[in-house]
This record gives sequence, structure tokens and C-alpha cells, in this order.
Amino acid sequence: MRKALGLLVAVLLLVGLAATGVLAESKVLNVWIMEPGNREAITKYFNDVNGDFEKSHPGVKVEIQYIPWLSGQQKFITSIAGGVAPDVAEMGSTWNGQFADMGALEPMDKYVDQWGYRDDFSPGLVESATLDGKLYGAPWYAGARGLIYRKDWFKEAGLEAPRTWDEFLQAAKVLTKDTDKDGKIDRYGFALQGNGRHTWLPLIWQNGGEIAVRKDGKWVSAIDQPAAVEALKWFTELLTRYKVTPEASVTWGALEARQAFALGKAAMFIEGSWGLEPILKSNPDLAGKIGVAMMPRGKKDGSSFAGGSNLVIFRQSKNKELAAEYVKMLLQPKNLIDFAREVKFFPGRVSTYDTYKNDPVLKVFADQMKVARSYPATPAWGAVEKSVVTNMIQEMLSGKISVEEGAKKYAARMNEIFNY
Amino acid sequence: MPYPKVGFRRIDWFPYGLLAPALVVVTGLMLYPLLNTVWLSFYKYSLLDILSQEKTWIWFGNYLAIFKDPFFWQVLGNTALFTAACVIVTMLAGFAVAMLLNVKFPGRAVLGVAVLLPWVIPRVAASIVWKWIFNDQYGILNYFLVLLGFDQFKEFSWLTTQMRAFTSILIVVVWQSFPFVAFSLLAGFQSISSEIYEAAEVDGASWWQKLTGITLPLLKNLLLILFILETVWDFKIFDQVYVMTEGGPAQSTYIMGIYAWMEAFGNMMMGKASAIAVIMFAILALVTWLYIRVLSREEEVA
Repeated sequence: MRKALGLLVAVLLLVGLAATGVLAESKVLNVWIMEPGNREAITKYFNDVNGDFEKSHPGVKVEIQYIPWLSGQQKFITSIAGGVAPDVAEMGSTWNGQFADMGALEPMDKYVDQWGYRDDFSPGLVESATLDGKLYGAPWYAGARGLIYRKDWFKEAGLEAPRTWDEFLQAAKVLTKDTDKDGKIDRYGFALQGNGRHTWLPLIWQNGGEIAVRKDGKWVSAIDQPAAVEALKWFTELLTRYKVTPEASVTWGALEARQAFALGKAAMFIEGSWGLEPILKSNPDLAGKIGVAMMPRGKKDGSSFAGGSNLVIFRQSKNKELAAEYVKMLLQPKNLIDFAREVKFFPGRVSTYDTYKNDPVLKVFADQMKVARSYPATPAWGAVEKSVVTNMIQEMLSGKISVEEGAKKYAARMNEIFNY
Repeated sequence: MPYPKVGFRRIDWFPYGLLAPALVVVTGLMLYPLLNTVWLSFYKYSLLDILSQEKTWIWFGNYLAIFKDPFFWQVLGNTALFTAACVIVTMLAGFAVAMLLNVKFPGRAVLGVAVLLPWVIPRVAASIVWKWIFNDQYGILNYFLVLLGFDQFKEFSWLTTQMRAFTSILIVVVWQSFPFVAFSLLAGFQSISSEIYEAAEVDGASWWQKLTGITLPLLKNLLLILFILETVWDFKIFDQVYVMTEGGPAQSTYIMGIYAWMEAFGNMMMGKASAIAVIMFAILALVTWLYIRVLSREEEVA
């Protein structure tokens, strides 16, 4: 009996020691990454960098979770409400202001100043992460959309890549064709995206307009101003007047437009460099036939939207110092360039841009980045994107409302959201 | 003594003890969220203030704003029409399939299992599959329609106008809900004694007369219950619409569920979204009450 008891105590002691040892040393760092297009390569990337991180931080386990872009915002909100926000997350640049304003994010100035390269961060992304002078995210990567077109068809028709809105429309008209003569258009000049706000909003900038301006400390919509209305009208008429894009494109997003391009049903569409690989994957015959160009210029310029992501640390995190270490590790030039290459974006540190000067494709998109801008950095931007922009575009495209009236109606809606 | 006396004084606590787990679950999972929603609907509460919990009591402000908004009435109208269409088509389809399965023929068991499948597949997964099927560029629906000689369906876009989008969603909703109706009715059919039909046949009753004179009257209660359930389910549909159109294009397929979701997670207006949810709850409670009244009155007469 005594012997058995002694054994039991010993076993319990061992188990207890092991348990406390494990508890004391093992820490899980939860990291949320937005669902990438090429999941395998990204998974491999994180296996490598996390392996290094875990080696240099014994007892730490990094858990990556992939979050779909479509439901990402909602997922962040519910996790914050439930007190289970991740430690580190990739945050879409247009959401950063909103979550910072909510008080969900940890200010990063302290860490960034320690790292000592604040000025190296891409200015567009810094702007998207800044609220009342504090930085709530570390710029990770960004990319700008440009024009992707069928080089072979352009050559056949004796056309050059369009540089202005007029040239763009001309090319779109010429390339919209009924190739098999059955009385139905089967090749369109352009694949429009009625559900692709980032292809629409920069048009306003290109024409010299603004989406919203800050007046007396308040945001005021400017989409009903003449320059903006003219830009929206021009793009809407690609479908309603010139019919150089399929009827179904009212509901298309980037995926559908890309698919149309890959299937040889459209000659041009707007997307970033990240779209090229999926196109070739679904239709390898297009190798060598795809051209890239900067956005056609309106009255002012050929600007685009600098879309990207920052790395944020959540205030609910219990491992903030460790989280900052992890962010720092991801922002090292080598890790940064490797990741940017995989997602076909550009790193959040400007000093890395030289990498692309000899690449004929990426150079175009890098140049596009130089004339890329950010949306108004207001916490209400998420709501504006969700309930103003796409609805307005689709109502205009489907003829439910004229462009002029639509702009007026949705400018009012936008102001209502800014003032809520 | 049928059970041991556990409590004190003269109150017998044992039955309450048995009920407690169920009561806790019902209160925690149903009553609390419901009351919380009602309570929130009286506040101006932005999701941006979720951490600070700042909110302003505005009495019926949310309700007034909603009732004044013509868009709400448009959505309510859409929802009512869409619900009615879904319920009617589902009931007809379910009834037809139940009649078919009620006949003995080889392969009936296999067909029975096959019919049940759509009901078993998770709604979101099924909706995603249907979205592919309806795709204008590479969907198999257009592919087969063109193969069958309907050339006008080449690259036909199923989701671009209100009518087309609602029709497509209706197909998905009906496809997912008719098996439940079919199997409930099949059980009902088999509960009717075959002697009644035999007697009717002896009297020379036609197929139609047997249906309207025997089957329908005897299954009236079952049919009413199915109508209530289908109405409630179809009125608060969310998944199928969210996956297939997200309420678009241009908000034309907005139904109440999407409307409440958009106000909550799109516009961040939690108070207003709660008010919409309460309105939905009130409408459904009213519909259910009406159905039940009709049902119980019928029983009194009988």
C-alpha cells in the first residue's frame, strides 16, 4: 500500500512538473492572414519564417489562420466583441482607420521608433494606418491596379496600349467583335467590374475630382461634383451606351473579369500584377500574349488606388512584445521582398523598390504605384464602401438611376454616414 | 409516492430540477438574445463603439427612421412576395414528389434517398455550387441549355436583373426545402387508411375527387403546419441570397435578412439593425398567430 502510494505521488509530481514546465514555456501567437490567391506558396513561406521565429523564441508556437477577404471585416468585429482577437493580423489598408478608431488596435509608434526606419515606410500605407497622429499599423505590402490587355489582338488591329481615356474607348470599340458571325458579340473590348469599386473610384481622381474632402474637421462627399460625375458617366457608358463590355459585367468582380479575360472573351481589364499568374494557370495558351500598361489618363492623370495591407497588433493581445517581435521579423527586407513576390505586390518599405527595375512587367506596376493614392482615412470608410460605392455603380449601370441623380443621391448617403 | 420528496416545505422541487437544464438552455440561447435585441433597438449604437460600449437611448428613433425610409417598404414588399413565391412553389413541388414516392415502383427507395440529399447539404455550400451552375461564362446550366438548342442562353446572365436574380435564388431555396415538405406529406399520405380510398373507388370517384375529397381534407392540419414552417423559414432567408447576390445588383434582391445584416455589419448601425430584426420577429409572430387561429377554429368546427 505504502509503496503504491509513493509511486502515485511520484507520478503525480512528474506530471505536475511537466505540466507547469509546458505551461510556463509554451506561448501561442495567433496570427491572421488574409486568404491569399496562391495558398500553397504562402503556406510554405509561413512555414519557413515561423520555423525561424520559433527557433529563436523557444516555447513559442505561431498559429496562422487564413481569413477570406469577403467576410474578413465582419470576422474581425465579431472576434473583438467576443474578446478573442488575434495577436497579430494582416489588416486591409482601408479598414485600418476604422479598427483604430474602435480602439481595437495597439499604437505601434513605440515599436517603430525602436526599429528606426519609420521614413522608409510607403507613404500611402502610413497614411492609411494613421489616426490622430498615431500609427496603428506597420505597412506590409501594397499594389496598384493597372491595365491588362491582349497584346496579340491589339497588334492584329494595329493598336497600341491606350494611354488616354479616348484611346481606351477607341480600342474597346474596335476590339468588341462578333468573331464567328452568328449575330452575337463573343469578344468584348473590356471586362468591366460592376462589383469592383477599386476600378471605379480612381477614375474620379484621374479626372481631377475627389471622393471626399475634409472641411472644418469633417469629411464631405465630393462624388456629386462635376469632375466626379463626368468620370462616373464615362465609365458607366462603356456598358450603357457603347456596349463594349458584357451585360453580365454589372455584377462582375475581379474574379469574373479575370475569368472572362482568361477565356478570351475580353481584350482588356483592370487588375494588379497579382492577377497575371491565375490567368496563365487557367489558360496557359495566353503565355506571351498578355500586355500590361499603366491606367489610361483622364483630364488629370492616370492614378490608381494603392491597395494593400498593414500588420497590426490587437489591444486584446496578451503577448504584445512578442507580437511586435514577430511583426519586426516579417518586415525584414528579405522576408518582405519574398512575401511581396509571392502575392505579386510591392513591399511596404520603399528602399526595396530597386528590386523591380529590370522586370518589364513589375516595373509597370511599380511605376503605377508612384501615382497611386489612398481613400479618405475616415473610420466610416468601411461603411461607405459597403453601402454607397457598389450600390451607386450598379444602379447607374442597370439604368435604375441617371449618373447625375445617382451621384447626388449617394453623396447625400455618404454624408449621412460620415455624420453618424 | 411516485417519486422521492427532495425539496423543503411543501414545494416539490423535483420537477423543477428536471426542467432546469432545458430552461437554462432556452433562456440562455433564445430568450436572452431576443430580449437583448429588443433592448438594443432603442439605442443609437454604432459598431465602432463596441469596445467603449457608448450608446444613446433614443426611444423609438430607429423604428421611426425605418418606417419613414421608402427603401424599407421596398425591401418588405420584396420579402413578402419572394416568401410567398417560395412557399407556394416549395409546397407544390413537395406535394408532387410525395405523390410520386407514394406510388410503389422499382427504385423508389433510391429515389427517396436522392430526394433527401438537397436538404442535407449545408445551405452555404449548396448556394456556392448553384452560383457556379448559374455562372454566365462557364456555368453548366447555360452549357446544357445551349446543347439542347436554346441558343439565347449562350452567356445568359442569371443574376443581373431583379427578376432573374430572384428567380435563380428561388430555384435554390425551393431545391433545398422541398424534401422536408415531401417527406412530411409522404408520412401523412401513408397515415390515411387505404380502405377509405378503396371505398371511394367503389363509388367511382376519380383521381381528382379522391385528392380533393379525401387526401387534402384529412391532411389539412399537416398542410397548415408545413405552411407556417415554410413561411417562417423563407421569410428570414439569408444564406442563399448572401452567397448568390449579396443583395445586388444595386440592392434589388435585398430581403429583410440582408437588410438587417447590412445595417449591422455594413453601416455599423447596430441599433437600427436590431430594430429591423425586431420588426421581422413581430411580423412572423403575427403570421404564426393567424395561422394557429385558423387552425384551431377549423378544429372547433370539426
